[in-house]
Amino acid sequence: MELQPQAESVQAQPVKKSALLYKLKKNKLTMVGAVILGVIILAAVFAPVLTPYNPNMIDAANKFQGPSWSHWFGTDEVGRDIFTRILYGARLSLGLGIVAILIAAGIGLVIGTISGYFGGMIDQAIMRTMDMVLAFPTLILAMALAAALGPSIQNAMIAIALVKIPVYVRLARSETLSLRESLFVKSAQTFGIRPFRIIRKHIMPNSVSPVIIQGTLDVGDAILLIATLGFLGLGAQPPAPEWGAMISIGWKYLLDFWWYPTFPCLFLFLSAGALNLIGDGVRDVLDPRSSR
Amino acid sequence: MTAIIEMDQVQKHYTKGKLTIKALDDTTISIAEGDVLGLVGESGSGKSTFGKLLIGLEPPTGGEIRYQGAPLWKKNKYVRRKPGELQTVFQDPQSSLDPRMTIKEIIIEPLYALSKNERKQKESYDNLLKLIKRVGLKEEHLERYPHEFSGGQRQRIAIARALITEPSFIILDEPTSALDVSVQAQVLNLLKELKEERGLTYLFISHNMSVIKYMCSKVAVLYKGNIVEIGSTEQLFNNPQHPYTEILLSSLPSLFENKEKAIEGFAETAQPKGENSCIFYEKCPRRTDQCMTSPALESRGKDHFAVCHY
Amino acid sequence: MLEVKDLHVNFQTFRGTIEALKNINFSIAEKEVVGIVGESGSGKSITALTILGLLEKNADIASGEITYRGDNLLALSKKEIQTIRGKKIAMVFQEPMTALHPTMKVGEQLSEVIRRHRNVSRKEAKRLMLVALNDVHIHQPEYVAKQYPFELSGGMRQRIVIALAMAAPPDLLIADEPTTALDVTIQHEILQLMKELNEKKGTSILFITHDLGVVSQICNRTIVMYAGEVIESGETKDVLYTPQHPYTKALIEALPDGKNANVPLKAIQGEVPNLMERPIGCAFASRCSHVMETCKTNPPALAHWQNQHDVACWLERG
Repeated sequence: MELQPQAESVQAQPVKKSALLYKLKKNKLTMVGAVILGVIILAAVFAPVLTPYNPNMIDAANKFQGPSWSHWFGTDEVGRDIFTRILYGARLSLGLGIVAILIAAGIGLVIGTISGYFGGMIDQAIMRTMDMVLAFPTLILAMALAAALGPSIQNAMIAIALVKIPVYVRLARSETLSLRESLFVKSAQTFGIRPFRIIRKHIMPNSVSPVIIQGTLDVGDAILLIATLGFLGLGAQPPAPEWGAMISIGWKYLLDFWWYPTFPCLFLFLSAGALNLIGDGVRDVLDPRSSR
Repeated sequence: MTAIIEMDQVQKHYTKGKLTIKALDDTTISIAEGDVLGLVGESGSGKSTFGKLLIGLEPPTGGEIRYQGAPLWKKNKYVRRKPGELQTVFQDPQSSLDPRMTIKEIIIEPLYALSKNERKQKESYDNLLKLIKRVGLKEEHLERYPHEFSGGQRQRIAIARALITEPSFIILDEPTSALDVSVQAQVLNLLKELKEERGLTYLFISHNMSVIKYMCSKVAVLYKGNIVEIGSTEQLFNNPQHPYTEILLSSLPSLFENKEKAIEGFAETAQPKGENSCIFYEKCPRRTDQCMTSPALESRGKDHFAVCHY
Repeated sequence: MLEVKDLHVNFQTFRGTIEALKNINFSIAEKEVVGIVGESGSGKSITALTILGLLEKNADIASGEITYRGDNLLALSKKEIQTIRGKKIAMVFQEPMTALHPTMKVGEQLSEVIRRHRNVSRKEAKRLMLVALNDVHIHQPEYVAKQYPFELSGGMRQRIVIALAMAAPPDLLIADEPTTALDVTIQHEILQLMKELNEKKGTSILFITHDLGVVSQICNRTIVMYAGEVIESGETKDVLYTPQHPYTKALIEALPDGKNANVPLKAIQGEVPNLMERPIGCAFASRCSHVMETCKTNPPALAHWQNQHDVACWLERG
């Protein structure tokens, strides 16, 4: 109320997107995260240009070489270039992490909005199922699912997507519960618009922001989970250059050949950290409740 | 004139544990075609409940509401014989427009409740263009989003949206209370013109007596879920019969009325109220013992009724 | 008692600078009720917040002075402002809930404030609290004192807020749309109450509202604001019954009060200008039906003219 003049003149201008960007840019940590992630993504995309090696090329003569100009991060037990494997591994980890979260968020959004909009028995059934899933620790459940589906990197991704769904269902549902009371949804109801159209046109687009925020925060988590499953032998199988699998073999050599597990760990840490920073920034911008 | 809306002993009671809240109590009223019925009342009077029952947001707990002779509610299910016949313009155009839709999407949305053929025909770009120009918007506005508009423009968008299905009855729920005076005048003029051009019938819900007086041909005064007085605008304003109506009229801070006249206010709350006493007993400045029995709706002249013993 | 001189306030936003207030001049005398009327975006609330030092961080007081009994409020430290705010100058907002502690009984809140301002014992504070409730026409003070804010109606809450504001008691009460959220009958009672407090206790009131009718009921003097400027000011009866500025005239014309229902209302066309690109000339020029060439390039200053009250318009100077 007290800021009416501001609100009025701000509304007069069609500049929503640049406002988002402006706020994101003001957040320094987010920019740090974005730069780190950007570098890693670019490196992964241009991996063939950046390194002359093949990630799976065995060169027994050069095994366990320390970091040098020809092998920046050294080589592993069969002489593969670790830098190369990390770059190709980034494609797997980041790609699958993002896909896993996209699947989880997409399914969660649909189920959550339907559950929240209709309420009643459907809602009860869905929410109790989700509570059951949430009762298990994420890692244990992901391990069990991955083991049941058979160890492979695709199955690890599916397992992660499945265990992440309930988070998005809850989020979308709670958002739907408040949107359902909003005047624009009520007015759509008075026009006689069918429920599924209301969900598709009004509820989903308006509950997508928190889902995006959660998703950005979760991609880092998903990457860690993929690596963990890889580390435990339930995800990527050798010789795939997956970070978790690399660490799994590498950590045995830590004392003698420190570079072998260290660099994959570092990259895992950097990408997960960068994603968290970006996630925080996105939340600050999209979520009015967290803005100061 | 035929009645477009008839309400027969309609009630809406909410039960909360043992408590029953009578949001609307045995209301009987009809709205004739071409009329503008003003519904006045303060918060808690039941005027928004009244609107909700008509537009299908909440079912009545008793009585019958008929639209052009056919019941609107069948066992808690809202029946739209012709979708798009009844439309609503809400008070707050800020929250009644989906922030993520373009103006075009917002305006044509009600058409998705119609049959495909009807939709195709009304959705035509010419039709849309004619409509938005009529309400005072421009073609280039169609691709913009609600946050780019001022309150008055948003209300014009809401009006265009209500008109796109070519309804015959529109509920205007405090359509100008969120607007500035200068913009309010624009919107009120527009609503009046549209009524004449399209032969619309309005239910105009408002707490602002001067807006009601300007817009409506007939007025009903609601108090605690009951109609206490109903009559033509002229009669009701010039010759109010119910003490509550008088208080409402005199409370209005008007620029043009004589400041010196004694203003009547509520009486101090009096508790002893039997089961059947008049609903206004508690606060009525003119209560007597006779008011311990509930008065009935009585004629007070041509088309003028009030619920009061005096 | 309070004087606002050449006040300019800007807001910095990432899209540019908004000139929210431009060249504001007015004063409030002892025991006076001054009304500021304007539509949204006119700067009436910003004016109140500036006086109380409650502006947001992105606001920048570019120039001007606000003197309260000789002290320039804008030059005081935060601490000094705080001793004046609440004690000497109190505020009542539109939404009473924002001023009340939701989980504290209203009586306790009121006694606490009384104790803070008047240095009295707990017992004495309680007694004064009941007196204060009685002063705002709460009929069963003992009972109401034990209620929580959510248990009270909007009108009752606003009475409590007024009692809180009057606790010190202040010299000046700034009321920002205090009755806008209330029903007309309740609004009427609150207005009566404020008028009475003004008459009995001699508290000056700065009353901010969009409602000309309210102004006519309670204010001695009226200031009309448009787009961050004062465009007309004077005795309420002069401003409302012989308005000089085309905007004030148009605003009164646009009210549906007492108008013939068969004649369309005279609406003001167009919208309030964007304050980021304030027009060079008169801010109302683009909407004015009497606009002249000079209005588009020269902003008129507020001035006394031809024995009339103050008005900022070229028309009045012939």
